[in-house]
Amino acid sequence: MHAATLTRFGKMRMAVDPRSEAGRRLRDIAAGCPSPGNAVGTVLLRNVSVSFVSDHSLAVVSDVSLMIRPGEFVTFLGPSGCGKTTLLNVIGGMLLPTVGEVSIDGVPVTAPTPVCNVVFQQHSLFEWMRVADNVAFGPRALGHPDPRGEAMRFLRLVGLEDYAEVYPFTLSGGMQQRVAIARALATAPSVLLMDEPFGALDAQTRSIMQEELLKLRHSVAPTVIFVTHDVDEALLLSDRIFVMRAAPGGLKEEIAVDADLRRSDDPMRNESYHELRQRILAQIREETLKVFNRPDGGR
Amino acid sequence: MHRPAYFRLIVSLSWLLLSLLLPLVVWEFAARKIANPVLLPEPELVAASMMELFSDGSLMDDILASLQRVFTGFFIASAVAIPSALLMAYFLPLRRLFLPLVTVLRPIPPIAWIPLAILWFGLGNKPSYFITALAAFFPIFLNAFAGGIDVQPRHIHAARFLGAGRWLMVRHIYLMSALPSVWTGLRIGLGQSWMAVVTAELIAAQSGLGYMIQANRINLETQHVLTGMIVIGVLGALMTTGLGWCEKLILPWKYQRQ
Ligand SMILES: Nc1ncnc2c1ncn2[C@@H]1O[C@H](COP(=O)(O)OP(=O)(O)OP(=O)(O)O)[C@@H](O)[C@H]1O
Ligand SMILES: [Mg+2]
Repeated sequence: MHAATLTRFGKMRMAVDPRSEAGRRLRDIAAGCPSPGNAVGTVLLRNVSVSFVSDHSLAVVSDVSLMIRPGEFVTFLGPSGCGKTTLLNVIGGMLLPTVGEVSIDGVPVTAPTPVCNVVFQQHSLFEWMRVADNVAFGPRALGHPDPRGEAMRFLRLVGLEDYAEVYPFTLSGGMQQRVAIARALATAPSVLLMDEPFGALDAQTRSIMQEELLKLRHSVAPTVIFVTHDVDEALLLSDRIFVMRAAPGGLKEEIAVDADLRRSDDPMRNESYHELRQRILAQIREETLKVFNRPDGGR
Repeated sequence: MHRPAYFRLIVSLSWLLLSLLLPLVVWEFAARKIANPVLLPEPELVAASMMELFSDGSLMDDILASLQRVFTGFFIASAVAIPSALLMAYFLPLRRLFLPLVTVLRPIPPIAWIPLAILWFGLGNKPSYFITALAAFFPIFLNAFAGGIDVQPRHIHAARFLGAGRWLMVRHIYLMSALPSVWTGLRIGLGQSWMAVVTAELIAAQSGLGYMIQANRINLETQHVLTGMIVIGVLGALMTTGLGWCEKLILPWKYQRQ
């Protein structure tokens, strides 16, 4: 039944076949047993450059190569306009790189497919659908036998099962983001892209959302690629942080975050945490200053 | 602060009554001052005319004739305008081919089409269908087009990530994104159509409220003219209000659930 309904994808222009991994993971998750043995979610970027002008000069992202391992939580940090969103768009297949290639689990990415899913900064819910229909949309499209039940399961995961029948606009910003996260997780993506998902939230909600995300990660466990401006958020959530260079955007430094760091009761008091934080802040500041000092206006 | 529902109903009805009474008083006063029932008959005269035309059935016939023309034209316009606008929004070659034509035709008021409509369709219902359809067409078309091109790339991407195939994409993303604008177009279109039917009937028909007004003007039966005008106004207002109520059913996500 599953395979039959999933073949509807055959009609779509897709280089990544969602039948294989996404379909199987969906079944695994539906059965309540994410199988850790067959790790999926390896993201590979090879010499990726993006330029929005035709002669390929003025690259927004320039020559990025990196590999992200299954289940890893990776964060891109960097000054505004350095190309973080552009990089996420490329990884998700929303934008084709000018040069280079992206692959997920060995399959080149050329269009958005359910192998990935995205949580945008804000306003990406389908506002004409009730909350439960938003979350059920993915399972329904993928031919899940019980999309509604699946939606309720993920809504419970984000603590919003009581809001299943309301329209998104009646929810607060933080609740809408939780719905967006539930909707993204409900297709069991191998890779979850999150572009400043908590950017529009107040500090309190934000910190609660971060805790929720950490908790959720262990029950769903896709590879997460995260974008933020907030160094503390990055340190709290990530296994690895990439600080990005500005104009043209690229990787300036890679920082592995020790898992013990965020497990300590009050990481803010921790000496090495503080040191790391200062180092990252200094790097971002350096890049931000570059943006402002450049004679050609920052490109 | 929170009053029971019947209390609020009484309050809003009182206001409505007052807002209707006020112009009536001014009218009465002006009519007595002018003292010429051909220029401005008193409200009592118009009320009597309304009773008379209702009881002999002629007013109802005219109303039905006009309504039938409006809804036929409106239906034709919707059936043509919505699909063509959406196709033009989604397919660039179609847009390039037809948008200039629409841009040029749009400023031509429906009334300017009446001579052609009579030449093509003679007198009777057909030219009125043509005119009412034409009047409704442009607001429906332009709004549907705007709705069509308004679909958010973010929603398209999100749906693709969620695995939507072509049919889900069209039905749940493209059409639903366009729906609020399409609805606005339909509302405006119906209003335009209602105004146009009167124009068309003034010239190109032998029944309907527009024709009735025209015939009574020639006979200097001003009270009948005013009756016709009031009926046009009230029916138009009812249509607008009715559509306003329907909106909560059609675009429920625009309204707070109580
Ligand atoms: N479609 C586009 N056409 C032209 N230039 C673009 C386009 N999209 C992005 N850019 C440029 O690419 C650069 C990087 O944009 P991007 O949105 O990736 O930045 P960002 O790092 O996400 O910034 P922020 O933190 O402010 O969201 C910017 O200079 C922007 O002007
Ligand atoms: Mg961005």
